Amino acid sequence: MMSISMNIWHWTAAICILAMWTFLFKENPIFRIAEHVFVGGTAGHAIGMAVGNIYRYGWNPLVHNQQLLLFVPIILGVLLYSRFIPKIAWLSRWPVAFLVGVGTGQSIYTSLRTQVINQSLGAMVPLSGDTVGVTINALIGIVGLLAVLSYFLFSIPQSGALEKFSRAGRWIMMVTFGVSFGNVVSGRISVLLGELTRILGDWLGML
Amino acid sequence: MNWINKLQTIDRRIIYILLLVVCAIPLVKPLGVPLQVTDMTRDVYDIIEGLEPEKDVVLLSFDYAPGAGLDAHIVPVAVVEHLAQRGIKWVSVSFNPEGPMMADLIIKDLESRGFKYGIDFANLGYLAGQETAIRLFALDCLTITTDTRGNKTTDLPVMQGIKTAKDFAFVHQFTSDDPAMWIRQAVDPMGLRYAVGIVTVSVPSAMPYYNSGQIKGLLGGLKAAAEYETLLGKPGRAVAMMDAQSMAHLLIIGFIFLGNLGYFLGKKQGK
Repeated sequence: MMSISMNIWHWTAAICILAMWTFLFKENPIFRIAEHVFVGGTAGHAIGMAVGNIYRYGWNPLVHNQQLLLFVPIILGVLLYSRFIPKIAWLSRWPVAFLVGVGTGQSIYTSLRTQVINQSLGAMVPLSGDTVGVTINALIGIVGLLAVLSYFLFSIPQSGALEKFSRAGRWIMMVTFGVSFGNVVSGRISVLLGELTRILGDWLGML
Repeated sequence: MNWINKLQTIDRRIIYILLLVVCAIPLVKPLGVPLQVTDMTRDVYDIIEGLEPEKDVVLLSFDYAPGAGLDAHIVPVAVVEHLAQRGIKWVSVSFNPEGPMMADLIIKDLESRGFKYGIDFANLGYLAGQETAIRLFALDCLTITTDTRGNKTTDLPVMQGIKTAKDFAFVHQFTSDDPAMWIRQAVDPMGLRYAVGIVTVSVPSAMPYYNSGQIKGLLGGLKAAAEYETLLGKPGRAVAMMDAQSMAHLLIIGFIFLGNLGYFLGKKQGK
């Protein structure tokens, strides 16, 4: 049973989705218009949010609460734009240096801890588990980890037993890529289903 | 051109139309394909079941944009429904500019059902700075001085007693990206109980963190949302969509099979 929505936003969404889908047939002006509307809308929203943030976290506390220390990040932020004026472009290096310094300092230790130490600890599991399944899983995990690592041993000639072992590592990586690709397909279908729900449900009232 | 060659040169538009039809039919008439609940989903459910409504507050980090589609949005809908069912208070924050808007969509629905903004939940909005902002917020949640409605954060009843991310009983991020930033800056250093809802595409990037125990639960896109709805005993939109998802996968498998059949038979014919 169909009951078409009278909500203007349901119509707008449906028209935009259908306009985007016309690309599946071939490139055309309707798709181009919808694409530009999407890009423009997203950029406009991002600029609005950015201005709002400067106002919320910079201007307001500075002017109303006299947090004078905020002059420093505000000036550094303004200096980023000096690169558009060739004569004083060098000034933009200061905020960039600051950002690189903070970013690096903040992520070196945390990355090492999170992505190296804790991940390695997570891989160190007891080989014998409560059930046969757990034991097999642990073995696959350990052997798989070592096999993949052996594939990236470039300082030792890949021959004999090492070659066979690293080839097993390559197979494991190929399985992983397959899993990733399967997830990509599944994710894209989910997005399609979301848009179909808007058309069949919100717009046409068939769901 | 014989039929073997045709198998490899099927017009892509035929595939698109078939895919649309195969997806649309189960949406209109659900088939009821059975669903298995995975441990990753059950873990999130169990954590929320273990929370105490009187004293626990949950932090939800909405870090995705509308472009991520339903695959990203359907997971928080299911999790928030669980929190609402149990009467657990929550606060949302976003490190993506569009995040607060996505949280507001859910809040609007809750308010229409009688839940009270500020008491049952609050939306603190967007904090710019990504990884740095996550660290800043985790160490000092009151760094956000006002919520998206202009209320003072310190005046919100739901924020009473909250100073750092450690004061939340559970942290759940919803993202269309990698959860590594949250884990690096807050979860590991502060020992937070943390789970992530992620789009299906990004599930493989989050799996190692789940296996190592850094993530306590993992909800991957539409499938996990459907599993969650099943656990809640309230099969909804996600469960119906999984029928369509399964049918679409069967169609794609069918086309992969046909393409390969055409390739191998063509090769044999060539010899």
